[in-house]
Amino acid sequence: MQEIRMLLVDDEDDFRTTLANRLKLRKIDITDAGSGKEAIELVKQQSFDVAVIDVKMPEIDGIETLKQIKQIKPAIEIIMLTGHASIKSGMEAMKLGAYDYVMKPCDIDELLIKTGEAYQHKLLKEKEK
Amino acid sequence: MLVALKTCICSACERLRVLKGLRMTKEKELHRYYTRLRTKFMSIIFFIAFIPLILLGGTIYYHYSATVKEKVINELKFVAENRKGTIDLFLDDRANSLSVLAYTHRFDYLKDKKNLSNVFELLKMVDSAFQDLGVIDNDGNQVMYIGPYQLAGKQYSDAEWFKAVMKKDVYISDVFLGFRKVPHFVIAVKRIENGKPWILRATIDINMINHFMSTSIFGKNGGDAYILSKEGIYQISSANYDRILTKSDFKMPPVFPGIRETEKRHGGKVLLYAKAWLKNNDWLMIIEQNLKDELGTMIHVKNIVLLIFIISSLIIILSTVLITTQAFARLEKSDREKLELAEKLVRSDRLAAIGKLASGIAHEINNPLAVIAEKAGWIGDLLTEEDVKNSPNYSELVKSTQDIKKHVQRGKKVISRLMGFARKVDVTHEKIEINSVLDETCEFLNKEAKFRNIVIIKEFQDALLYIVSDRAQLQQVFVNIVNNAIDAIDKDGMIHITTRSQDGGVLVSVADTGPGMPDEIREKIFDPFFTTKAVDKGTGLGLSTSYGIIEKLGGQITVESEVDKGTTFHITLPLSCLQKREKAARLP
Repeated sequence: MQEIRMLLVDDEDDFRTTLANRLKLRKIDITDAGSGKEAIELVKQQSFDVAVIDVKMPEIDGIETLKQIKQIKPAIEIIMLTGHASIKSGMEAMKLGAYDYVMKPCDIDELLIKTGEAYQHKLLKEKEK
Repeated sequence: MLVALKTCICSACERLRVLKGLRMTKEKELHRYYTRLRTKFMSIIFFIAFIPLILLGGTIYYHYSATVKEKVINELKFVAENRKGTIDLFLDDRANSLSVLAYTHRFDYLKDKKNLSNVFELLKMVDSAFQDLGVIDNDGNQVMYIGPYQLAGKQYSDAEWFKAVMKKDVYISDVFLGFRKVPHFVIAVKRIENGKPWILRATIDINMINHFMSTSIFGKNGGDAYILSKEGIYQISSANYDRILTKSDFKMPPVFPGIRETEKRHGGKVLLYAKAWLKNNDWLMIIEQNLKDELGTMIHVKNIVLLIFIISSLIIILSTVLITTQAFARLEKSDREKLELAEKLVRSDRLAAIGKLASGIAHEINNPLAVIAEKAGWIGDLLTEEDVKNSPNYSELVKSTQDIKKHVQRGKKVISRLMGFARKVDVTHEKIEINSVLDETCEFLNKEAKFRNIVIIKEFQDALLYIVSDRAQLQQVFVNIVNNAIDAIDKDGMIHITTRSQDGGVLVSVADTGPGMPDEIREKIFDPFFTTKAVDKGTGLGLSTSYGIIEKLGGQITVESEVDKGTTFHITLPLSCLQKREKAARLP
């Protein structure tokens, strides 16, 4: 099976890098970005299957990043990372085209399951085309 | 961080407690204020109502007594005038009669006993006031005497009256004892015959004067009437006292014409006097009247005025006290309700503020917690590598990462509860039968209660009204409260749950036989993060969340507690949780 290409976007460096390492260990082709702006640039340059984006980020927040990524590459499935206080934002993100949301602190197995589902969803959509 | 959050929120709770304390102080102050105001108000009303009443009563009484006094004075003056005229006329008449006798009869004729006796008999026939008749020569010898005493031959040259008549021609004496040693007064007339003076003298019946004076006394209990000589010697016996020829204490006034009235207060009496000089200003006639005797009729008027005053006063006092007490009780109640409402609003505001604060802090904690979780996860991942597995501390490392994960989960739960407290959960509406919700609650907690030997007694009212509310949230509240009761009792006790209809809603009471709470704890139990349970057993959010839920559902939650007796929670719920919201929405 082809490795899932994932873009992990979070402004919390420690969280992002550690999670990236753990996902790499679980055979995910991971690229990480520390801001919405960086993520958008990466999306323009590279191909991704799934993007995991934190809702609360400085400058360009998760929702705005989601909107722009969906504009550039609508096929990328997006999973939002949200704290308890931003469940509403997670729901809003889903209305804007996010595939699902995961609450922080997240369980890696839950994230992997949802990533797998999102990837399958992307493949399904591509087949339909 | 969690400690910081708790400290921060607890300081907010402290403010709530201060506010609550303020409310209690304010309520006491309010009560004191209204008590003071009521007293002041009543005093003012009493003052306003009593002043005209007293003035009116006083004026009526004053005018009536003034009228009576004036009447008495007028009457006194009238009598005095009348008596003065009578006595003066009486004395003048007697003096004239004697003068006529002296000038129509010669000395030689009258010094004959038979002749004098005839003249006296004739005189007595026309005037009974004459008691005797005597003829005295110019040396003061009584040459002839007709009368009841043996006075013929008596020598009067040293007598005052003799000296006076020799100078004045006609003399009316003061009362004196004389040879007869009986009080009397005489009228003496001098005639000069052939160059030699002689005197015709008659004794006048003093009872005539007594009679004139005694009939001048009027009024119910009578006063006094008497005549004093210039020297202040009583000339007659009064109606009340036998004091003739005794010296009076009366300060003799200078001679004045006509009648003079005076007033004297003596020994609680008001004495009115009418005075007049008689007998060419030799005698002072005094008619005395005690005003209080004459004011006797005033007692009736006074009693009526007093009765009206008492009845009016009672009506004023009763109506003032009743109306004022009722009005002020209503005002105080209204103010207390306002105070309660303000306190409730403050509480709601504070809870909302704490919620907002908790929400913000929860998010800030969430990120480091996520990093810790990931780091622990990463360490866990790395521990699966072969070379690490051979480490002597491998099992310790695995346990430590598991412990980190466990405590991250614990932190997550705290944040979850915190968010549950802070979150504005939408209320759902459904038709609920409260008894069934409580049954479920009891079933849910029965195992724990049985384990601790706690009996749950349900006393539910049959056919209790269905209410429209949020079943899940009510369930949470009941679980919180019953759970708290179980924790409070700890072991061996009883929880009494009752339901009944009240004021178009439902009242649920949960009473426990636990240790109860002192006032200082009872006042804080709805504050977020306030708990009396051990650190790892309670978050202090249960009751504050319950308070928020019940308030959101339009109800009210109150607590009664007594140390060593137990605690009772009362939860009132409206028929529909929409009612209060609609009412609130209609408020300006």
